[in-house]
Amino acid sequence: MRQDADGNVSSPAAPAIEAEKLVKRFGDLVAVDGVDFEIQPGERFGFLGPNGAGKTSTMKMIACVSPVTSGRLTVFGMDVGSRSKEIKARIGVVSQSDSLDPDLSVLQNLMSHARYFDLPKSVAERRALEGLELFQLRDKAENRPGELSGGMRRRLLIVRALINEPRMLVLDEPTTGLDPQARLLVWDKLSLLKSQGITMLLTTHYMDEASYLCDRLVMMDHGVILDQGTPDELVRRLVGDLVIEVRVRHDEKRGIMDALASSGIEARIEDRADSLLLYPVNGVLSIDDLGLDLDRFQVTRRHGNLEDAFLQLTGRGLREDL
Amino acid sequence: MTVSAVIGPAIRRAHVWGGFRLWQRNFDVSMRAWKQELGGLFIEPFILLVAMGFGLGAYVGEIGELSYAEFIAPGIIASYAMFHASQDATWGAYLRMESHHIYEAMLFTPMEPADIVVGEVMWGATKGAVSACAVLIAAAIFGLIQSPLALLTIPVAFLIGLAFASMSMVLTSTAPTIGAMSNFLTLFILPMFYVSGTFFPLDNLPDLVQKAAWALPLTPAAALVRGLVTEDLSIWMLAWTAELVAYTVIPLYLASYFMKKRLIK
Repeated sequence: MRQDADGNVSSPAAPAIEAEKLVKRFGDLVAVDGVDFEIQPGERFGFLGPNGAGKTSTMKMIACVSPVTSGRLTVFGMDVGSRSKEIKARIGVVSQSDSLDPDLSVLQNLMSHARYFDLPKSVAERRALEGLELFQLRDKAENRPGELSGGMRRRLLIVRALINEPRMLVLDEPTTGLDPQARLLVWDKLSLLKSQGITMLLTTHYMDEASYLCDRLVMMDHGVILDQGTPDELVRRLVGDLVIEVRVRHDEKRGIMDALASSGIEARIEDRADSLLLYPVNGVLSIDDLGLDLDRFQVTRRHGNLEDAFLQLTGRGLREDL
Repeated sequence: MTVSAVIGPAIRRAHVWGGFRLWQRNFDVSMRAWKQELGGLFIEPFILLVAMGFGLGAYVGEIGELSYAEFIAPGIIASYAMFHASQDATWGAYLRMESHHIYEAMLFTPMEPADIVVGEVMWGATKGAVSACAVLIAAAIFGLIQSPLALLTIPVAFLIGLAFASMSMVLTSTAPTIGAMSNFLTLFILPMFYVSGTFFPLDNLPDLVQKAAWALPLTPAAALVRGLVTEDLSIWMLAWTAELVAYTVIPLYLASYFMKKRLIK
């Protein structure tokens, strides 16, 4: 009953994923509210949005562990409802929760996972050791997952997801909860995989992660897609090139805002936590035009980023955990 | 067409192959910790046989042609298969599912919920058979086992384990919290231990209670083991086997259904 790696796939040119009016409902809660997107083979595609945006629900439908409520969803041209076993054999999933087996060694974790794909032992062992080597875990092979750091565990989850040599890797918030150094290492390894041509799909609420890792992304909130494009495109279209950031104490905010508004500069002003952001309407604005006492206020010119773009789209700051 | 070409797909359809993959995982874990488990496995039946068989047995006298120790040894074999299979498929499986997210990781592979249920049941049955072996060895050391037919109690213990692990998996797949497990064990499994012809013959009980006891799975289980150990074979053994098969198959379907509902949302 075994098929070769490419058996039964409709056509090699088929998109890696095609979603049409995709809906996921849990009782009365609409988690995904009719989204459309298409992901090409070899692409690194990101779902960016706050908690509760519907990213994980979308990811679970793609991974065939959550049935589609309505709409159409295909992976490599195969319908997720009727051909889940074939799809699962061709993808690797790194879920948000740490599902490493605490009772087995690191190497055994990989070997038992490989058995679920019916891989021969020798093949599994070779891939496991290669993967551990690549992700700098080779000397931990005999340890238990409980003895590893958070960053190592996350890397092990990625090695595990690669054991079946998937054509697509699905990562649900791959670096959430990691310290900056561990994050960088994960990013570095994921970039390496990209160069090997694997299709990569990830969710994140880190804007810097999305701009670093994704060729293209969609911004989601409340179960709908707000916008999509390459990170650069989105920033340029939604924010523009230039942002001026004025650090200001809370009790002074009001006064400064009024002063700026009456100074006649052509910029949209946004109030954000400990600073005011100025987005020049025609793209040019000099710090000197602001008429602020530069000894008292820290003023910086910087490029627009995805965070600016996202806040521009949603209106307000990122939501707390829902 | 070769035999394996027919059997292979059938095994896959029945989720035995996927189940075997989970069985292998549990086996690996068990091999890492067998030294800790071994003591309890062998010492407990020794103590039970000494205390009940020889301690209490000295006051009881003979039951039929059997000494009291000879009478209860088969009952203890069947009960141990029941206990070990039930414990693993309740506490053990629930922990693997809810605390360690083992099933979640499996679902990201071609494994299906029914593979998981079948695998846990096969594993529970294996633990039941191993524990029955431990009692068998203890009983043999005390000279309570004469017939070579006693070796057949090992596959019978596996069947007993299948039945109890299947029933346990119905609970595991529906339990809202781990606390639900203790009710099953204290209100269902433990009472059965006492009233299934394990420690005394059922003959003196009221007719209705006897019928109820025979409808519960441990009574035919104990009777099967006793028939083999004492070479008291009868045509009823087929009916008892059929009863255990029914107690395996029906819960297996239910547990697979509930497990799918629980895991795939």
